[in-house]
Amino acid sequence: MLYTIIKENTYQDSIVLMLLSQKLSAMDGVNKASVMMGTPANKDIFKGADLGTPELETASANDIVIVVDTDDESKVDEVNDAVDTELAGGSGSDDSAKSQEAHNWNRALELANNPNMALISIPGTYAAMEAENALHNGLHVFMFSDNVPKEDEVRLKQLAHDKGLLVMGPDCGTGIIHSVPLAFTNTVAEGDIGVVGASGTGIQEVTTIIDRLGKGVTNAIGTGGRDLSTEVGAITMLDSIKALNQDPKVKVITVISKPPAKEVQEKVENLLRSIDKPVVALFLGAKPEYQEAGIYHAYTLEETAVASVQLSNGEEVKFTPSSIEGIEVDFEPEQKGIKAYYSGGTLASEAAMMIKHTMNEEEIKDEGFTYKSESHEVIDLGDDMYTQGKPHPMIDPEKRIEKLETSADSEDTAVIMLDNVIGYGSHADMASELAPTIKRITDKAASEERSLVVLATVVGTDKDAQGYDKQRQILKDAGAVICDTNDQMVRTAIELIGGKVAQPELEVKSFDKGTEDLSVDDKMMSLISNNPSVINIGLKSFTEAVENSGAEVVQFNWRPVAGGDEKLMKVLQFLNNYEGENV
Amino acid sequence: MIYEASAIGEIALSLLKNNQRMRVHSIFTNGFNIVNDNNDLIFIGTDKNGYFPFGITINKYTMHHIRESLQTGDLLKTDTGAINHHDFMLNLKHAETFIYNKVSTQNTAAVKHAVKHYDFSDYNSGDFSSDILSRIITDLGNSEAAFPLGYLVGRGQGLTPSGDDMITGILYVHCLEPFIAGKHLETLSSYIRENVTTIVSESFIRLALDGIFSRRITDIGDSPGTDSMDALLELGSSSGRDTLYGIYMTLNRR
Repeated sequence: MLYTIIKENTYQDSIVLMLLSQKLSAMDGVNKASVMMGTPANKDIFKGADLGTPELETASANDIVIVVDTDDESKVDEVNDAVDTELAGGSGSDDSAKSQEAHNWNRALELANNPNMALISIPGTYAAMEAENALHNGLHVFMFSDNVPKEDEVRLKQLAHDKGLLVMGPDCGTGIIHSVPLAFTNTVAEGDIGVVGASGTGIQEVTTIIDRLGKGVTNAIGTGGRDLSTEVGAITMLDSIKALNQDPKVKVITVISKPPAKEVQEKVENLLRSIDKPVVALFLGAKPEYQEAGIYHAYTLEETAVASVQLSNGEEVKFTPSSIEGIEVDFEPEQKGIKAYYSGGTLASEAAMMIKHTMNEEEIKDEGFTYKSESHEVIDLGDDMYTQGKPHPMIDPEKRIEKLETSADSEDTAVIMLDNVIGYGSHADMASELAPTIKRITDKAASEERSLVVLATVVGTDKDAQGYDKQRQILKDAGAVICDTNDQMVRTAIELIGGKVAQPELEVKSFDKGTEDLSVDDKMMSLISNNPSVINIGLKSFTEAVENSGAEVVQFNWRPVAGGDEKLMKVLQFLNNYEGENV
Repeated sequence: MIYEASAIGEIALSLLKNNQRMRVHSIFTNGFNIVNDNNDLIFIGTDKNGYFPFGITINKYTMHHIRESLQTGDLLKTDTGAINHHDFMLNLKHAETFIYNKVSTQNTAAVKHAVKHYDFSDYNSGDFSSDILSRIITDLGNSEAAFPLGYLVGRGQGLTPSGDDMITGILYVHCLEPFIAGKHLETLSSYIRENVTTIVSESFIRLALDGIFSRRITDIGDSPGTDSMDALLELGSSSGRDTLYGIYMTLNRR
């Protein structure tokens, strides 16, 4: 008996179709099977092979047609499943996800099991609207999307705050909620340190160091880079600190940000002074000016991690910076420069800060550089300027390979620094991508009897899929000197060219205890105390990390309403919410 | 997200100039097709299959990301500067426009000599034996013969069925040394618009009828030899070989 399956407007390379034909023909109970595009000529071939059916005639040239000869009708479903799997890109690729899919909010909310968070990664223009929809549906929001106007951010965060909800982002690259990794994140041990940060790779560096020091982080809340701006007023950071303060499992609260506007910093510090748990604060970029009881002010990311670990162990903070010693170099007089090519923005900022504070060269302002002076340059290749139309350097090695090659040939280069940020969202094996170039340039320098040091650091944990030790080993075998942290790497680089990073020595100041209201909405506590149930709007790959951690996720395959007409969408949005709040 | 295209073919550019909206027709591992209402097609994908006159080239990382958000039927707003999807924008402003090469007719003897070194005897066991192909090619020169290409169009596996790739090869040789009766060319031109083969194949044949071929094919005439022919062989899973077989059979016709 012949059965016909037609997949309309579907294509595959011929090799896939041929393999599929073979696979289907080899199935038990299938006498014969053939898979072809439904062109008239191919229909003749089907007929010639005694596989002609009336349904075959309805297929068009752009459809894939499968004709199966079997005596067992139940085989047809099996064949159909095999075909779908193969056409979806081969077995085991897309069928692993147990997640369910929806195409609108109603369906997504129906499918989800008590959802409490929306993970949004659609384009910025639409992200704000969907974030608002999520908040109206009582969901916390994690916004990976960037290009969201600042005024929208202010409005959304205010709305969230009023509803007892949290907006993480926009442009939030990293988060860990109740040990569930969100977006670009490492797998970190659970523990009693609570982190809130306005910088993605800053959170990654601090949480991974904490993990490697044997402690853990259950919640690392990303706020988005603009949260501490005057306009936004740190709404997300303040609410997050309060939530971590109320969480009985959190022993230490760690806060990471760039130096904010003065009045915002005062607001944050005032809250931190109101709570009783020990706090580590890092406003990366500025040298801390004092220490105070209850708040440890750190200078670098590693120091932040070490201080957090020591406080969680009930110890006094004692940070001893380290550098790698014993690297033999004999630089030519013109070799004075440190060249750093980062994929992590905060790591680049940290390097820039330490070089600037130590080497005292006049800074040359240039948009393409995190820091540039006569001898040195630090570039964040993940900056918008370099990623326009290109994948992020955590995924694509091309730009770094190019920079490695040009800087190695430059006469003034003494030391090159690189980061390799692993974890969810990053390249499966960046070390192997960079290794051949590192080997080539170090070999070349050696053959010319010229000293050239390539320093590298891996941001990750042994639980990350890429393998922390493996990534280090590959880079080491290629000729790089491996540093444990970015802090150690920058100190090593500076020492190689004759400098020494001074660790700020600070006097202790005392302040009055703050009087901030520390109450928190139950929804906030529920967010950080339970596995999130996520509605993922946008990039499907984000579901993987969530599912691997045992949390539930519904994929919302988002399409713009009103044909993507932004103006019309805004009108609809207004009308929907207008009715929703007044009826 | 904004992605960048590295190259764009001349035909693709002129289609974008004249169409504000196109839709996603089909999606593969290494690329996807978009079409306008007339089914004129642009292939957007990696350079795995070479550069096409109706192609836009992106790198594999971009393709990987685009695949995540792309579905058949999605609408795209297009102009010569960018292709806009609701999840991403593909920027074309920095893409290198590549002009299709005119077929160079100076080296036909060298092409004929070089292609002789390839063995196509395995075709004899299938639908495209040398006997069948020889008869078709001979009939193409005879305006009295019944339309000979009906057998080849749309026959065989894949995105561009093998028979169509052979036709492309035959038409390439026709450009080098015209031999096909005008009547058959006209019939082919109208026949392929009747939904007799895949839309991608239809685009290739339409352009081949206008003397426009993808770079890997024109390279053969520009620098005849095993290098250019080996490069053609790598095209697709069997497309390149099918095309070269069409060239071989036509150049060695009696």
